[in-house]
Amino acid sequence: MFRKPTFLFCVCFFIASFGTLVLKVYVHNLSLDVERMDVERSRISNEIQVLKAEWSYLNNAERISNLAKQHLGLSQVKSEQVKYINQKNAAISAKMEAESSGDGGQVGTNWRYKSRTGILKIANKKEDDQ
Amino acid sequence: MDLFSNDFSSKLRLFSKEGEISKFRIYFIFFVFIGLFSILGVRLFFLTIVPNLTSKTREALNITIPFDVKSRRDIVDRNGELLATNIETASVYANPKIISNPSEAAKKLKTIFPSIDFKELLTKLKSPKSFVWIKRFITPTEHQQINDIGIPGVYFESGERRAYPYAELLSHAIGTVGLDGHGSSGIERAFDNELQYKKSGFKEAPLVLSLDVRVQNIIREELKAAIVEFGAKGGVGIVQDPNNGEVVSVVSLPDFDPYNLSKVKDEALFNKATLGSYELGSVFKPFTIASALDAGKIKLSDVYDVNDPIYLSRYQIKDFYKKDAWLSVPEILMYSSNIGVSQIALELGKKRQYGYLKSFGFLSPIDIEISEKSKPSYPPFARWSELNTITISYGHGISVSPLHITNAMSATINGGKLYPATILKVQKPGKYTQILKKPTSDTMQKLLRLVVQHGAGKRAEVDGYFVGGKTGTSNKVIDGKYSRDLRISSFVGAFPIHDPKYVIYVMLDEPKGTKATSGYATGGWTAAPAVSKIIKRIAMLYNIPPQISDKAKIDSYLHVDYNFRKRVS
Repeated sequence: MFRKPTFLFCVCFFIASFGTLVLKVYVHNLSLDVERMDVERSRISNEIQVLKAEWSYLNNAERISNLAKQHLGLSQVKSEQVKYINQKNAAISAKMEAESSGDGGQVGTNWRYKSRTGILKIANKKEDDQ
Repeated sequence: MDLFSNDFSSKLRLFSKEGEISKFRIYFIFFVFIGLFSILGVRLFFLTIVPNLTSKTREALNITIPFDVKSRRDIVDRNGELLATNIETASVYANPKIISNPSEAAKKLKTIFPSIDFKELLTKLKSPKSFVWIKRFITPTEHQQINDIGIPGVYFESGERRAYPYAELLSHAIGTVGLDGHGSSGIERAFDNELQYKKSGFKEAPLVLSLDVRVQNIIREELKAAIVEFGAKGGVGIVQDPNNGEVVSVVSLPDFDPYNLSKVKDEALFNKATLGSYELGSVFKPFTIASALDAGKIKLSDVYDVNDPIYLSRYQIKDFYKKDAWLSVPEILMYSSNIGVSQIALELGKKRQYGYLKSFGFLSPIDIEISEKSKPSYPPFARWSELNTITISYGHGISVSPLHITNAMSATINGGKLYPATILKVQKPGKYTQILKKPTSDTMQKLLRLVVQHGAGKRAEVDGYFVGGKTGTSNKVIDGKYSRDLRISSFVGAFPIHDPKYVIYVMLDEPKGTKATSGYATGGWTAAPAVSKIIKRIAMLYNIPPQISDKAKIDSYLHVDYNFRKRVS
């Protein structure tokens, strides 16, 4: 009734069907795993977002400053408390060098007195007349 | 194999013969057992070797559809501090058809939400509708409390809400988002398109601002203290980097709680820094002098007659501080002489004055990304009279925003380069317009230093930081007339003036004199000390050292010979 090729065919068919089923279940489970991980990622991402917002709130300088004053008696460093050794000011040196090349003629050499003229003279004259 | 060659009926016959042990029966039982054991074997194989072949279910994995918070990008400051973000939140609603005892439910809900009107809530719960909102965007604690009391017919809907961790601190700059998820003011409105998610899936990069929350906090604290000290109505504080136009801090007081907009007064919603437009007074004088110097119309050695007031039409132009009959150009700025600067403006001329004001950016809305911007108010060129030339020279007859002044001051002292003011972090300095010659800018640094050393801006001085700046006081215009008592006092300064790192502007709206100020409420008495305190704190924050060892050298560089009397004698 069943010849050898038929039997082999049946076996192969069974294996293929079974393999397909196994693969389907496997893929189904994997997709659920991906979905689960996606849900988890989304949940964690939301949690991180909330934590970031809380962190920012906790980092508020006003709050930290108040806490530092209240519990530790700390206050901000003042410029008078800072001393620098070997401070070099490159900006001022470069500027002074540039200055020696000229001031663009804006300073002037002699004091130049400017009396009121034009509209100002007329305006004040009118006032004097009144 | 022979077995399979016989037909089934013959096998049945063999089976029916009593006492005969047929081959078929043995094979049959053999295959049944083989089959059963195979099933068991396969099952065991599935369960032990390949556990994944057991089909999983969503319920078993506890997969519920998550609420994905991603409808709007985050906003961060220049150091990555989160300024605005969307977070998951819940809203409570009810189905009145399911609620059996509305008054009991209303009582319970009222204990959780004391701000809700009881009568209104009861009416809602008794309504014939099948959906009524009870409260939008509840806190996690409220969420838990409602779960604990467990009222049938009360449900939650997940949603997202814009969260501002710094609340009032950046309320004007960041702005707010409406219920539709679109920006309604500030950066949120100006960058509404950019802040919307374009791609689904992973989060997009945040919008990085030039603001620094630490500096913002310093400015707000000092401004608030000044407002309290001088009983002012409000104020503005701005810090800008003059070397690239970045606005590091912008504060407008009063400000508002972005979570409680319904209870905010209109005045608190008004951003004075960019939307406000004011006659800002003498802080305009440096721009007039810079323009005249740049145009070659005056020299520092020019001396002007400031003895008598100027009478024009029905106006009298006089000086607040009378120093001498004659003042040199540096002294005009130092002592803030209206009479002196008026004469300089007339020498500059209407056309040039207009041109320079335009190049400083005073004649158009400020170039910044914030959507709330005012249009400057000034007379049209055709009707720009000599009186306008005079009054505008000392900041009257022209209304601009405080940010205009800050940005123009940046250009005046940074070598004459006008950068567009920006609220976004700048990677490298962008394009600029050269509006003043470099020697003019260098000269202005020296003149502004004189104001702080010997003039009205003395109280802005910080030892070792070479502060330069200018005070400004103007009477407010109320119903078209200048008020005698209400004023706007301000100070715009930079440090260190010979190599400016930051420009700082402080304005107080309607400050009142105190005993300590002998009743004065001018910019020099009210705003300048606030700037001094701000500089002390910012310098330490940014690790800018006081220049003590180079003091003599810097003083010598910044020296300007202004006293013509000595030279004459």
